[in-house]
Amino acid sequence: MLSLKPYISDIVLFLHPTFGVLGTMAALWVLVEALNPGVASQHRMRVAAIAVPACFALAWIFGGYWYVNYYYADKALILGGPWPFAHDLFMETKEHLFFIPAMLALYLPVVCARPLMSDRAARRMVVAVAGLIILNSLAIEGAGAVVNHGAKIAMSQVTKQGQE
Amino acid sequence: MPRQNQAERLDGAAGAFGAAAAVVLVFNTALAWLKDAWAPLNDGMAALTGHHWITHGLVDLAVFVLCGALLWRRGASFNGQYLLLAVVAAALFGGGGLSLWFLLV
Repeated sequence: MLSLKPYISDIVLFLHPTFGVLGTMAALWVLVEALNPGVASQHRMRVAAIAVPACFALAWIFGGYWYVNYYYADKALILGGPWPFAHDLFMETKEHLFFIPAMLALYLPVVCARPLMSDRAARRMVVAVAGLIILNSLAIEGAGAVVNHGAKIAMSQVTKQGQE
Repeated sequence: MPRQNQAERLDGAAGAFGAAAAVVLVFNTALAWLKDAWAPLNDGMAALTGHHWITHGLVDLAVFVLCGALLWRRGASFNGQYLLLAVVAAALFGGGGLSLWFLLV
């Protein structure tokens, strides 16, 4: 029988960006519904607005678990490799930047509870908050890719040195 | 035009937690700067939960919830445009402040 135990670190690592992307897509859904508010769209938008913090909470839990328990090995590898800035700049920024869309995600369902067809202030706020969540999340996804590449090229270097 | 002005205001939970979001975005960046510059704070935060990042997230969450609940309870009402600008400015300050800090320091 296949044991998942050796793959727990990888599974947790992949679940983190998966829920991050799902939360970003839900925020995009909210943004589109808020740009065209209507009776039917109000319910859909509120469902999507609840999906945003739910996905971000899961991304937070899985990413946090991996960061606290497994990242130290990658960090040492990255810092010893050709791209130390993948940790010093990108990971350090990413781990704190994450809290910005996470907090905005918690706020989104609160402001989406207003009747957006008649409440212009709330509608503008929903558009802005959803847009900020999307932009920050894309930046975080990009930073994650740089961290991943920093570890990859550091590992390549170690492998190359081993072969020599 | 009192009816228009009323429509442009954000009150209740939407106003209170909007203001709380602006506050916590600035607070998050300030705390990141402070703990990165002052090791005893970082160590103290790590000792509280086992990792400074866990404490950082929980403190952010507490600031957001407490600040929002307090403003809501006090019946705070905000000009919608000003609150929107505050949230956007806080997010730009927060993101830009973090990137520049880790780029330059």
